[in-house]
Amino acid sequence: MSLFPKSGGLRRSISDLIQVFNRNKTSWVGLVLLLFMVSLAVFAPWLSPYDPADQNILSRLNPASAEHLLGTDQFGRDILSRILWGARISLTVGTISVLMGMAVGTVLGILAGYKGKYWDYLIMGVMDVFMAIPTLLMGLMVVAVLGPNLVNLTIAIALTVAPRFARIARAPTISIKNRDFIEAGRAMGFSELRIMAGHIFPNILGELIVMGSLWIATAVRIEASLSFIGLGVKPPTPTWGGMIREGFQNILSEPWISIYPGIFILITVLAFNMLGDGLRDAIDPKLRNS
Amino acid sequence: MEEKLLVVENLTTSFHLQNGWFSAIEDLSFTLNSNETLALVGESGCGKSVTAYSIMNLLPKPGSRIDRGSVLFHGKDLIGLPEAEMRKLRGSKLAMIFQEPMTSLNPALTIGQQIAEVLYYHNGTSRKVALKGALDLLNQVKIPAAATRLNDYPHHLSGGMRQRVMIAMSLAGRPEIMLADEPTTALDVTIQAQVLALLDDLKQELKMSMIFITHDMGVVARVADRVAVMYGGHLAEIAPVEDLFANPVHPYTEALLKSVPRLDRDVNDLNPIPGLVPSIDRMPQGCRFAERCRFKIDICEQQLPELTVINPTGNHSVRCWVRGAQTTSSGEPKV
Amino acid sequence: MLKYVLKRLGMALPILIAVLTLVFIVIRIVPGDPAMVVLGDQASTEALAALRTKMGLDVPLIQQYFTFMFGAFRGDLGNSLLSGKPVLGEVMTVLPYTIDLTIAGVVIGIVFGVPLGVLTAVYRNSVTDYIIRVFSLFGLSFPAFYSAILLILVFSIHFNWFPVISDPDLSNYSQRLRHLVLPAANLGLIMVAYITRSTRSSMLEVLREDYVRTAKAKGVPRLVVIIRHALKNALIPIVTVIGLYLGVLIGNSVLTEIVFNRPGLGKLILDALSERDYPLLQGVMVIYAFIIVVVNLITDLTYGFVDPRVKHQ
Repeated sequence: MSLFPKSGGLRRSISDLIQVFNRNKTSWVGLVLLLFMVSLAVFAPWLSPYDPADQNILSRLNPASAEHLLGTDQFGRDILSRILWGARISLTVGTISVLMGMAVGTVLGILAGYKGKYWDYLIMGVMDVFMAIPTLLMGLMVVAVLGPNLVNLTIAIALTVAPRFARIARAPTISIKNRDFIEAGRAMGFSELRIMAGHIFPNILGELIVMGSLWIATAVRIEASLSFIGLGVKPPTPTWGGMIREGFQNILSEPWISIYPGIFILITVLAFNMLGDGLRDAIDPKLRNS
Repeated sequence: MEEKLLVVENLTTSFHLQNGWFSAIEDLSFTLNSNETLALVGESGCGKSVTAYSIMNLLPKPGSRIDRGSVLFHGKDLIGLPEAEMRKLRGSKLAMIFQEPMTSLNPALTIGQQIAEVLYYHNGTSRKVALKGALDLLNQVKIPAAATRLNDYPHHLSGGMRQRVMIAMSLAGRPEIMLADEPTTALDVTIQAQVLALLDDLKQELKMSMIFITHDMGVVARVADRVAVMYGGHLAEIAPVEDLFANPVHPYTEALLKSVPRLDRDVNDLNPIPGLVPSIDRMPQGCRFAERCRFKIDICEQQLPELTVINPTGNHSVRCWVRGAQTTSSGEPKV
Repeated sequence: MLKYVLKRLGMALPILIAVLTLVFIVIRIVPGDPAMVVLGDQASTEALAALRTKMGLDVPLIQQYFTFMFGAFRGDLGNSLLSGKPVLGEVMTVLPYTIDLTIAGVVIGIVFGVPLGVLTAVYRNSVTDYIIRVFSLFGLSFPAFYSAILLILVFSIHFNWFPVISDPDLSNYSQRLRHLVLPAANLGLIMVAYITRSTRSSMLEVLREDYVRTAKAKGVPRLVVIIRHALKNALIPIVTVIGLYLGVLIGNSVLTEIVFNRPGLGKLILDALSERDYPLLQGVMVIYAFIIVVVNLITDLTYGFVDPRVKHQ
């Protein structure tokens, strides 16, 4: 007797998944854009025509041309290459910070729901405090204090994301905690944690994916914003936000230096938003068609 | 002399499910005379509510459509009537009350506002006069301390009270036909009796006709003049109430009556009807009750029987191969 | 009703204290010696010690904590290292600008967002619906600083309708308004996107309710059903829009101020950060903490007033 409600194997899950995607076309668009961006990031070393740090004073501040598809910046660096490498940073920070926050938050949420009482109050109280602080401010504070680098940036975002997932995980934990089959399972020798995991996760999987996707969109935006402010990864590492910041000085005469990276940020954030949104519409029974 | 108030003919309404359009009611035909209560009975899913919604054109859009048929009200076909004209009829000549009084009233508006609204939009009275009218209506449905109730919000009232308010709202336009969709199902038995008594009185006073939808045969016996039994989107049997109870012809009607627990029978002698109503996307060919019917013969599962008159006065019709009459309504001998 | 108010107040206070504590801890974690940061590492030991005393850093941490907490509630947030003036004063000088911007952004958001949201809900799955939804998705996805840059490029530089740098003289109302337009539009864009979506989902839920069906059955005109019956109920959760989206508002107004070089709390934080003016930074964070908790409290209470079910308990 299996205590895990999901059955049917991988093949059925995949066709189920495709069905879910099909219900809302937006999620397909998001997925395609996403895969496009990910490929750009992954294959950046091979796709970039130039080394992103390569300075060439002779060809600085050039608009789009045959040699430089997206032009050059004030140091003569190829913008396209910098954008491709910048994709790595944004996507990495965005995804990892949210995954970290998801992992930590879910565990804390389950802990709070399972242990109840003081543990619950304490954990959720701390979560509430962190949730009250706007993501950008949290990022500002953490990075200002700990220093601007990839790791701190990731931690900062993970800190604001975690409480949201704690919330998501806590409710089903509480409702499942007291159900009869927990007793039955315990009698059969399964550890409580395994029982709970088996029942809680299928329940919240959908929400995790939707929320995860939407929060990665936010995380990418925050990373770009912090980089723009100057609190991102230090130059010469190319980040999209940083590129916009550098281009801002020449905004009147050479606007493309700021415009192009922004387009990529927009597409990436849009992709994750579409994915999360589309999936949410497909999963939420209230928003369905008939 | 009875006048035909509402003539429904071949009414067919379909819904759009994930795998296509399926009819919820098919070729439904019946009449409603003036000054009578027609009960529409059947299990959940048989299409009784859909019928009422189709008549009022309140079907949820998108995802639903009236495929064919006509609903003649004073000679005018309601199907295909422009929405502006339909709106004028709704709430005035044609009124409807619903099953859930708890959720059918707007929580953000007072009782007075919700009743006065009908008068304001249909009669064009001023707001003040409309409110006065609302007070009169509350008294008419026998709500105590009506004047204070006008400023109350729905959540201040009990279920029975709310249903009375619903009735008051529906009477505001002086309806000729009231469609009541299981108005007492969600109420306590004692409150049920009160509300039914109220509806009875009102019907006499206002000379109103009612289409009363219910699944409770006890209520049918109490309120109906004529009864239409529905199954699987079709009309199974239609007859005056005494005839139906005394002499149920359709196997489904018979089973329905037998399944009602009675005080004069052994309480262990419960007779539920085996099986379930098929969902609209899985309707069988032929008679839809066949798979649950103990009288079924071969043809039942192949071909849908027609509605045939089975008594000399012509007011009792049945749709059944086994128990239907020898001749069809057009006079031809049957199989 | 009173119980509701008291309960909410009771919950707000511990959160405020917790957030302030968090601010305190974060600022103190800064590695290195703040005095040295200000005076440079060539400074003499005496000068450093004197500055440390002046900054209140030579007393035990616990004492610093209590000084900080009591000061926060009294309005004494210390003095800015840069200007020497009281932090609270600095904040008060720029607060009107931030308030202008925030209110303008919210108003734009509501004025455009609510009708658009109603449209998409009522005309669900129509072309209008899809177009509006795509636009709001874009609105959400634009980083606030990027849209600000684009707005400047188009309206300030290309069309020359508005100033590039937003630094109005507050007493000159027309200038104040003119300098507000683009920043407010930037913030408003995002708010419209959010409010459209939340109005849409709220309306969709309400339109399915039984009482909407009843209203239709009564023959009430369509517009009245949508506005008086549906929207009135749908707006109840949206009333809390400011509290709901406070994080969005704050974050995006900071970015807007930075790009437009407009005075305000956001810009103050940035300056404090770059100049390592920790008392100022701490002070602004304290102000934000108060704003967040108080605004959430107010929206909670407003919700209680607006929802008749809560009001009449």
